[in-house]
Amino acid sequence: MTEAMFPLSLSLRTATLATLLVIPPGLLLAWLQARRPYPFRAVVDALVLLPLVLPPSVVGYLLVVLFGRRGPLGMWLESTLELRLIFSPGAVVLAAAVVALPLLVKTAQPALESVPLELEHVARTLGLGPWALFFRVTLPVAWPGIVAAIVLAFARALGEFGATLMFAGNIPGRTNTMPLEIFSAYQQGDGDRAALYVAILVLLSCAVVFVAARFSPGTRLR
Amino acid sequence: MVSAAASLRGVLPQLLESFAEQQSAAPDIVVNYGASGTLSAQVEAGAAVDLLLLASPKPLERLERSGLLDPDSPVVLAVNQMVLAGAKGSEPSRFHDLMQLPADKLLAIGDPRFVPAGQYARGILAREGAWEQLQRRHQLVLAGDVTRALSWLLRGEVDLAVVYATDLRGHDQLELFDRAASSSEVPRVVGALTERGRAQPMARALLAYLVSDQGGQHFAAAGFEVLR
Repeated sequence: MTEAMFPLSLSLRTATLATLLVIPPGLLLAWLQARRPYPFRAVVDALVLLPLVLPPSVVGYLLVVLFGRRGPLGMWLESTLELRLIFSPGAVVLAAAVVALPLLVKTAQPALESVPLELEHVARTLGLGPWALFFRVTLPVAWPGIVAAIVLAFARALGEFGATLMFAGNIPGRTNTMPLEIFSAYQQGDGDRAALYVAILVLLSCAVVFVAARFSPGTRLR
Repeated sequence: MVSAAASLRGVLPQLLESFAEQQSAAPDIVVNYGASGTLSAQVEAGAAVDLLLLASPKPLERLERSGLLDPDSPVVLAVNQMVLAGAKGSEPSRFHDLMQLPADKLLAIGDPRFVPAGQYARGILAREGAWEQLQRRHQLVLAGDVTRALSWLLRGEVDLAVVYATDLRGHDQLELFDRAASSSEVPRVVGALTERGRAQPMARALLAYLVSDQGGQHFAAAGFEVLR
């Protein structure tokens, strides 16, 4: 692979992995928030939203403190799984996943809420268990909103910059995603290289916005 | 406005203070610290900078070609030295040993694409025959400026760092393991007026102060070598 194509490929791979990683917990959280009244629901709601509201530098700092070589989770991962996240592509995935999760939950939640309760009641009286109910009734009905949620989460993962810079470093051939490469190129005064990745990211983002709008409940592009 | 290399954070505040004491009116000086390559790219992009104090003369070349620099002004202010440092009490290492750096150890250097300390470090590592291997084994962590390499070392996120000798001042928890051989490229701190700063008496006076004996004493006190 050429040096210039590496950031594109790395960005696509890590953002895809981060999105796949947050889909199961994200949908579960969205469903819990949409359907289950439980104590401290508002607290969970706020916590889920936090990475979206916090400055990326705070997210990056917390990731380093928790998952760095001296951090409690970092030391645990290194001693049990011999896995060192910081300055690795795994760190890129984790940083992207952390910021993508709230967007997934917050977009999927209204989609799940919009599924008529009567529909689920009828399905339940017909003998569907909770898993079958979710996968055969709720998910298919909420599908367009879920697609929008996944696409937006992917876009956020793809665009992650600040936390990635702090937690994954900016190592050519290893952790230099497209956003980081734009930053490096700009720092070197290399406008052409910056423009290449800017153009790619703008195109990808346009595609994402189009797909998300196409699938969002209530809005239809004609 | 003065744009200064990150490695001058330790000495420039005192220099500016004693410079201000000499002036009749308190000078209004704003300092922007960063990687020398970044700072010169900012000037190229039109930043309103009057005086550049960089860790290497190299980033000035492009500015000179684009006519953004006062061609008469570039002057070497002081000389620094590259060192290999680690946490006090950790296993010492020498530049020569870096080829056999254990696979779980990380080494931080400045990003050679725009950080002079990283360019000097790459030169040393290449001569020791360690550059290719450290890169292939993903043992190098590249910092956006030299002070970030130092902060990773202080936090324990890396085991070793190649930084300037002057960077270690005031960090008792760090230890100097090795000095770059005298045959390697010598890090030179240079001062240069921009085309814009050429007409600014205050910028000219500050640069003159930095090259004066008194300015040199401050550099020397901070661990730089001053050539006269």
